[in-house]
Amino acid sequence: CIQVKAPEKPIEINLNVNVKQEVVVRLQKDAQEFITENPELFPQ
Amino acid sequence: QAGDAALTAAIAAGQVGEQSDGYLGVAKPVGADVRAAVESLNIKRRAAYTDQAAKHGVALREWAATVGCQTLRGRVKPGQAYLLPDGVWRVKDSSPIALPANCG
Amino acid sequence: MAGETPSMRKRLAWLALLPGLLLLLLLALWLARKPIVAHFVDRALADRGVAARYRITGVGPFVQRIENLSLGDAAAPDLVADWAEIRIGWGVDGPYLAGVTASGARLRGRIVDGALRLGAVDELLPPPSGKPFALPDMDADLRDARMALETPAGRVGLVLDGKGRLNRDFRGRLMVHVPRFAAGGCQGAGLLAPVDIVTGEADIRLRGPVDLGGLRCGEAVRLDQLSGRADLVLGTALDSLRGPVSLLAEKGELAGVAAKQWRFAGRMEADIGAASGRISGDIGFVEAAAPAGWRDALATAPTGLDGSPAGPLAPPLAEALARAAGNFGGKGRVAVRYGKAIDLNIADIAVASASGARLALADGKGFGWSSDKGVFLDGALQLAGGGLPAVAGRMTLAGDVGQGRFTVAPYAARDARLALAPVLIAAGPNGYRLRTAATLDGPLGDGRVRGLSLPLDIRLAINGAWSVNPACAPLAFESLAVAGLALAPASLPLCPKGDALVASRRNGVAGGGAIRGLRLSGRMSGSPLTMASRSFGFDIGTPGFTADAVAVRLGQGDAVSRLDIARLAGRTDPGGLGGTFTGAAGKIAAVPLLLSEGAGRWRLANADLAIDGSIAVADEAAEPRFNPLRSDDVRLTLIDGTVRATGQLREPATNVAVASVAIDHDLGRSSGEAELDVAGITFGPALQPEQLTRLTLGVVANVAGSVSGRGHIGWTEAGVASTGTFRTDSLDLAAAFGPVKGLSGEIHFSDLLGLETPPGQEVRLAEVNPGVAVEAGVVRYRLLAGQQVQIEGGRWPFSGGELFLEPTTLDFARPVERRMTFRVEGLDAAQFIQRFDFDNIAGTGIFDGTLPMVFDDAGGRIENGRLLVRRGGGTLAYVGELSNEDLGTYGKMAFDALKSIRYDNLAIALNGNLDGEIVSEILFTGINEQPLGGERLEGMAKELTGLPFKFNITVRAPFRGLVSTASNFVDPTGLIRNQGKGDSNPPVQAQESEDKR
Repeated sequence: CIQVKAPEKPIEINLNVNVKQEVVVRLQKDAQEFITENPELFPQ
Repeated sequence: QAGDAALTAAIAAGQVGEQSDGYLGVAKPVGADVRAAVESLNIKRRAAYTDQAAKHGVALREWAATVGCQTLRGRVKPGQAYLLPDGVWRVKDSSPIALPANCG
Repeated sequence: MAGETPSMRKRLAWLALLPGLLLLLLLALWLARKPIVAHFVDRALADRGVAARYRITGVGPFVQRIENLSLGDAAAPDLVADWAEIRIGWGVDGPYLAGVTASGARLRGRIVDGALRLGAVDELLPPPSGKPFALPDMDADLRDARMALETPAGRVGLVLDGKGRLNRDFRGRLMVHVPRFAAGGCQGAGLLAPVDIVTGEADIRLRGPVDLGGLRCGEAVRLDQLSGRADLVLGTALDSLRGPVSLLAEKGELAGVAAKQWRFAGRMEADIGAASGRISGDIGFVEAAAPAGWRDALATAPTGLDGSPAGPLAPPLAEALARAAGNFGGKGRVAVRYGKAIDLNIADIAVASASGARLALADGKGFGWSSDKGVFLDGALQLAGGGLPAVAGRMTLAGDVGQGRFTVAPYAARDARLALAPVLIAAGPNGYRLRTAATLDGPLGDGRVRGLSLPLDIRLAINGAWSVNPACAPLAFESLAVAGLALAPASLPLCPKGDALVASRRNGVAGGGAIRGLRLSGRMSGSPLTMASRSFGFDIGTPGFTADAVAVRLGQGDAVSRLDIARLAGRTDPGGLGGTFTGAAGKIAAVPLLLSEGAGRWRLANADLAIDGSIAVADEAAEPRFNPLRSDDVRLTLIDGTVRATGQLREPATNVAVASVAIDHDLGRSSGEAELDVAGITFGPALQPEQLTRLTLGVVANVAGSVSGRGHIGWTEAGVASTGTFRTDSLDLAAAFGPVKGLSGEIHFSDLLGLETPPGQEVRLAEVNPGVAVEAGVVRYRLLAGQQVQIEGGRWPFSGGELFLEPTTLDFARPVERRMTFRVEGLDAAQFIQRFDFDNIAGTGIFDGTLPMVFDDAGGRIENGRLLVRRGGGTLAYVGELSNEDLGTYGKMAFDALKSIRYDNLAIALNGNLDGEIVSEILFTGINEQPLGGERLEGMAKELTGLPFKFNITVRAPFRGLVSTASNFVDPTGLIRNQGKGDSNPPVQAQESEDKR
C-alpha cells in the first residue's frame, strides 16, 4: 500500500473545467425577433 | 446611403454573404467601398450583439452565432453566398442550408 | 412763243415782251388822227370791226391830236388815252410816222396759250411779217402810259413814262408791278420793278431796282423782301435778254438753309425764242442757321454713348456742329440752265461759320441737280475749324452712281480720341456704302482702352435705313485696362448676331454682336491672367454682355487660381462691371479645395471684385479626406491683390453646419491662409461621421456626441502647412474592438490635412468594452501619415491594479490585424473576483502579467496572456456546491482541497476570444487549509491539512461566461495524477463536455 507521510512532493491535480454555454433553442426565437427588429443590420 | 446600395448589390451578386458566426463576410474580392460597408455593418452588429449578449447573459460570440443560425436558416436567397464554421464559402441552391450543430 | 414752260422760264419770257407791248401802244396812237383821219379811221376801224370812241382835236401836217380815245368795247375798252399827238414826217417815199406823244394811255392785254391778245387793238396791227421783230424808227413821248396784262401767272401792271427815238435812244421809266403771281410751283407777291429803259440801235437797256415781297417755291425756297438791281439788255428783236442781275433777300430760306440775308450777283442770258436761258453768278447768304429743333436734337442725341470709350467725344462734337450750324454764311458760284431740261449747278461752295468752321467744295463741277440726270456732285470737299474734325477728300457722284474718298483728321476731346481710316464712299442704285476703320482711345467703366479698332462697313439705303457691319470684322485693341484688369493686345472676330452689328429700326436701333472663341491675356492686380470663353455676346437693346464657357486663370506656377464659369452675364455702369454667374467651378491657388456648382452675383469696381452666392466645396486629394460640402452664403472679394473668402460649409443632405471658412490669399506673393472654425458638429441618428468623411467608415459607427475645434491651413509658393485642434467632451461610439462610451479629449494636428499629430496626444475613455468593460482609461497616442495610429501608452485602473497598454502602431488604412499588448500590474485577485462578483470564489493575491491582444474584423483575442502572482502568494477558496455528479474520489478530494488553499505561486496562461471562449490554464502549488473530506485514501490521516498540492486547472469558458456564470463551474472532470509523474506541462486532457444549462 502507499505509505502516506507528509509527502515531499505535492499532490498533482489536473482539472479541466468546461463552461459550455450551449445557447439553447429558447434563444433562437429571441435571435429571430432581434433580426426582424433591426432590419438595417441585416440587408438582403 | 450609397454604401448600403453597393452592399445589397454585393450580397445579391454572391460576393458578400452571411456567416454562421453572425457576421457578414466577404466571399469574393470586392471594392474598397463595399469592404468598408461590410466592416461598418459588422461594427454595428457587434455593438448591438454586445447589448443583447449582456441582456441574455450569454457570451457575445454565442449570441452572434445564434443570430447566425437564423440568418442562415431564413435569410440567404438562392445564388447568395454563405459561410459555415468549416470556413468554406458556399452558394445557396434551392435546398436548405445544413446548419451547424449549435443551431439546434 | 414756245409753249407752256416751267416757272423760271415763264417769268423771264413775258418780262422780255414788255418793251414789245410798249411799242404796240405807240403804233395804235399813231392811227388816231383828226376827222380826216377819223373818217378814214372809222372806216378802217369798221372794216376791222373795231368799236372806237375818240375825238380828233387837231390834225396838222405834222401833228395830229386825238383825245378821249377809247378803243374796243365801250364798257371795257381795250385801249384808252386822254390825249395823243401823232407827228407825221414826210420823207422820200411819202409820209411816215415820225413820233407820238400820249398821256394817260390805258391798254389791256391778255396772254392766252402763250400769245398776246390785245382785244380790239389786235385788229389794228399789221399782220405778222415773219421778219424778226424790230422797234419802229420813230420818236415817242409817253406820259403815264399804263397797261394791264392778264397772264396765266398773274396780273401784270405796267406804267411807262419816257421819250426818245424808239429804235435808237428812247429813254424812260418803266414801272412793272405784279401783285401776285404763281408759276412753275412758285408763288410770288409784290413784284415792283421801276426800271429805266433806254433803247439803242443794238439793244434795249433796262436798268433799275427790282423788289419782290416774297417768293415761295415748294419747300425749297422761301425768300422774303427780295430786292435787287437789273441791268438787262433786251435784244431789239425781243429775242434775247441778258445782263447782270443782283438780288438781295432779307430773311429767306433756300434748300432748308434759313439765312438772315441771301445775296445773288450774276448774269442772266435768256433766249426768249427758244425759251431757254442761263443764270449764273455768285450766290451768298449770311447769318444762316439750321432749324432750332434740329440743333437741339443734335445737342441731346449722343447720350446713348455714355460709358463707352466714345462717350466724351459725342458732346463736344455735337456742340461744335450745333454752334457751326448756329450762325454761318456761305457763297458759291451758281449756274442755272433752263430750256428743254433744267439743271442747277453750284460750284466753289464756301461756307464759313461764326464758330470758325469752314466748309469748301471746290475744284470740280460742284454740286448740282439736273432734271434728267438727277443729283450730281464732283469736287474736292474740305471741312475744318470750329472744333470740327478736319475732313478732306474728293467725291464724284452722277445720278445715283459714284464714289468718294475722304480723310478725316483724328478727333480728340477730353480723354477720348477717335481716328478714322480714309473713308471710302460708294454710291449705288440702292444707296450709299461707307467703308472705313475706326480706332478709338477712351475711358471704359473706370479704366481705359487704347487702340480699340474695328473696320466699319456702313450701308445707307435710299429710304434712310442704315446698318453697320453685316459681316464679321476683327475687333482689336492695343491695351485695355478696366477695374484693375490690364489686358494685352488682342484681335477678336466680332460677328453680328442678326443681319448687322447695329441697324436702324423703325423705332430706334437694334442689333448685337458675338465674339466666338474669345481669348484674352493680361494681368490683374499684378498677377498674370488669361481669360477665354466659347462665346461672348452683347445686345444693343440690353446693355451689358453674356458669355458662356468662360475659363479664367489667375496667377502663375502651381499657385494658379482657376475659375470656369458656364454662364456669365454682366453690365457696365459708371461704377464698373456687375452681373450674375451660374455653373462656376474652380480652385483658389494652392488651397486644396475644389469649388463647383457656383452661382450668384459678381461686381467688379475699381479693381475690387466681390462675389456672393452658393458653391459646393470638395477635397482635392485623390483620397478625399471629407465628402463634398455646400455653402449658400459665400462672400468672396478681391481687393488690392488679396482674395478674401468666407462662408459657412454645410453637409448637403442634412444641411448641418460643419465649419465656417475664412480664406485670405495674396495673389502677388501667391501665399495665404484659411481658418476653419468647427463651432460644433453633433453626431447622432441624423448625422454620422461617414456622411462627412469616408475615413471613419468601417472604423467607427453609431457615433453620438459633438466635436468642435479650429483648423488653420497656410500656404506659400513653397507648399502647404496646416494645423488644427479639435476636442470633444463626451463621445460614444462603436469601434472594431467594441463599444466605447464617454470618449473625451483634445487632439492637436501638426499636419491637419495629412491627419498627423505631434506625439503625446491624450484621450480619455470612460468605458471600453472589447468583451470586458474597463473604465476610466487614458490613452496617449500619435496619428501618423497614412491613417496610422501610434499608441504611446494607455492606462486603465483594473481591480486594484492597473492595465498598461504597451506602445504599438495600429494601421487603420488597411483591414489588417491590430496588435495591442496590455501589461497587468498589481491586479488584486480579491478585487478582481469581487469586481466580477464571483459569489462562490474568494481569493487573494497580487498579480502582474501581460495580455497580448489581437484585434481584427472578427473581434479581439488574447494570445498567450500570462499572469503571475507576486511573492507572498495568496489564498483561494471555492465554496460553490458541486453538482452531484459522481466526481470520483479524486474530484472530491480536489474540490475539498480547493475549499481553501494557500498558494505561494500561481500562474495563469490565457488564450482565446474576448467575446467568446477563453482557455485559461491555472498552475499553482499550495497547501490546503481545510481537511480533506470524502473517503479516505488508504493510509491518509484524517485531519490532513497543510498537504502540498499542485493544481493544474484548465478552464475553458466564455470570457463573458467566466464573468457572469463563473459561479457554477460545471462538469469538472479531472484526473488527479499522483506526484509520481512529475510531468511539468499539463497533459492534454480529453475534452468531455455535456450539455448543461
